[in-house]
Amino acid sequence: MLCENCNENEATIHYTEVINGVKNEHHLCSECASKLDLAYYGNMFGTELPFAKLLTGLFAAGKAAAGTEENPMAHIICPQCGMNFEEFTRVGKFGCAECYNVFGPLIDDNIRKIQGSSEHMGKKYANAKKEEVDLPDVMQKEKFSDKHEEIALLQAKLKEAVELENYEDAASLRDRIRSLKAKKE
Amino acid sequence: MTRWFEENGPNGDVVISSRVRLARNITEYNFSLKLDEKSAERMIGDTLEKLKGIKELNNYTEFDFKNLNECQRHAMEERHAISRFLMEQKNAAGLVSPNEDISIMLNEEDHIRIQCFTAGMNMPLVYDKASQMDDLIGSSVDYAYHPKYGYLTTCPSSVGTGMRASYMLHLPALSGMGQLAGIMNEVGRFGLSMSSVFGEGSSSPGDIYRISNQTTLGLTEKELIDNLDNIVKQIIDQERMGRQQYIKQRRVTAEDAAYRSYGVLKYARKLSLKDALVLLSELRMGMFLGLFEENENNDFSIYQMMIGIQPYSLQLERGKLSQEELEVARSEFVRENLPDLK
Repeated sequence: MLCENCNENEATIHYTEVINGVKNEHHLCSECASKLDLAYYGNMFGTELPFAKLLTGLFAAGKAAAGTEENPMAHIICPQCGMNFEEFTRVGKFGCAECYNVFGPLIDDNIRKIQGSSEHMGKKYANAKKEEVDLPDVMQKEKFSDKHEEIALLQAKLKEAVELENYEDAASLRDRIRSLKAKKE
Repeated sequence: MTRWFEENGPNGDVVISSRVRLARNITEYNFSLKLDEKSAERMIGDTLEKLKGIKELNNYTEFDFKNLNECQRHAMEERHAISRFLMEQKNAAGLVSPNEDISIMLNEEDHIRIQCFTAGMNMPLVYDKASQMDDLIGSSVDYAYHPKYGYLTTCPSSVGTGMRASYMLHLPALSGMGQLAGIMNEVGRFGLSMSSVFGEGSSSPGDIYRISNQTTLGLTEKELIDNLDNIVKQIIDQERMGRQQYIKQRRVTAEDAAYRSYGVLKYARKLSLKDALVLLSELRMGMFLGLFEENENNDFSIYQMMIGIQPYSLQLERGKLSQEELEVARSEFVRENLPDLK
């Protein structure tokens, strides 16, 4: 088995993490493992918020799987605070409220993995503004001025569709990505 | 005015305090990660002005890091008036209620952190208080709120309710029986996390632990609190059973430990922080188990002494002390504040 991070060396370190009953297996080569902060797993309870670190790990793994070379995700930047996808996956934190609209749809499944849900059920803010109630829909292409962004979002959706074994949607998403890429060139 | 930690509350033999923290951000500013110093100052100044306009907060004390020295900041953190994260910020300000049970911190990891404490076990009460404060503040500033994700926070681990509810528990019996590592592991399965309050990892002088919800999204505040309460009730039962077993099987040893701790605390002329915490923990358990023949101060909160012996709280009035002076001052503080037991 190849290392999930570099995809080059043989994976020699295998570990399983279980958070909120969700099991994740990781396979790394010793080189990549030494770069990861595995000590954190031994010191899980020393910190109040181990989630952020975990989230970074989840994002990074997703990013590595997508291949760093010409990764369209890298072009996504929050127009409000300037946070880009690379920085976002590294720190695992949002830079402003707008980041939730920009990066939210990309990491919905990760949020669900960590929180067990991706929808707020608690107290509602009485003063909440009524505008912007609609979430950015990835299928509404006119919302994206940059083709890179749209491709990235479609790829994220594709990944989710495959994970959910929703192959019909996956096929149509794949075709859309293909046609967009063709247009680009 | 008596501060919240100077009393014992419901289930006080095990539960020292209940705390709720709400994380809120203001729409018009970037979150802390992307907030430069100038904007942070503007955010603090503007928000503080708005808070001071709320008449319910008229009797709160205002604090601003510009007017506080390092020792004062650390001492505030030691008695939980501000969080450690806030203490380490360069710029920060806020308001604290007269008995220090409610604080509003500005420029924490999120723009606003509302924190509410009470002695003993009463999470619904603290949540209500925090939520009322939240309503007051939320009507004078514009919170960052998303119809799907709820209250938006810097860290995705707080998003949604933005609520972290936590209990501080005194668990000398479970700790003594070596059962805590197992419990700490177990609570993770219920979306909770547990850590020691003094000390790091599983070594915890004073045997005081904090347990809180990790999950903040997808459940209501009440569900999160009920879930936490269910587990905490089980931990309380186990701790009590452990204590009863201990005095049933080893009554003399238990009495000896309690009286010995009292003796050392009363007569020592130098006390390290770790030793003092260990001794106060023994004393606290002994008092609740009724091991002392005469105890006229049944309601005395030992926890206030655990705060009072912390280094910065000791230096607050005495000025900067060397390590040895600190240990001497600690023993003096203990002698002056120790309840009368026989």
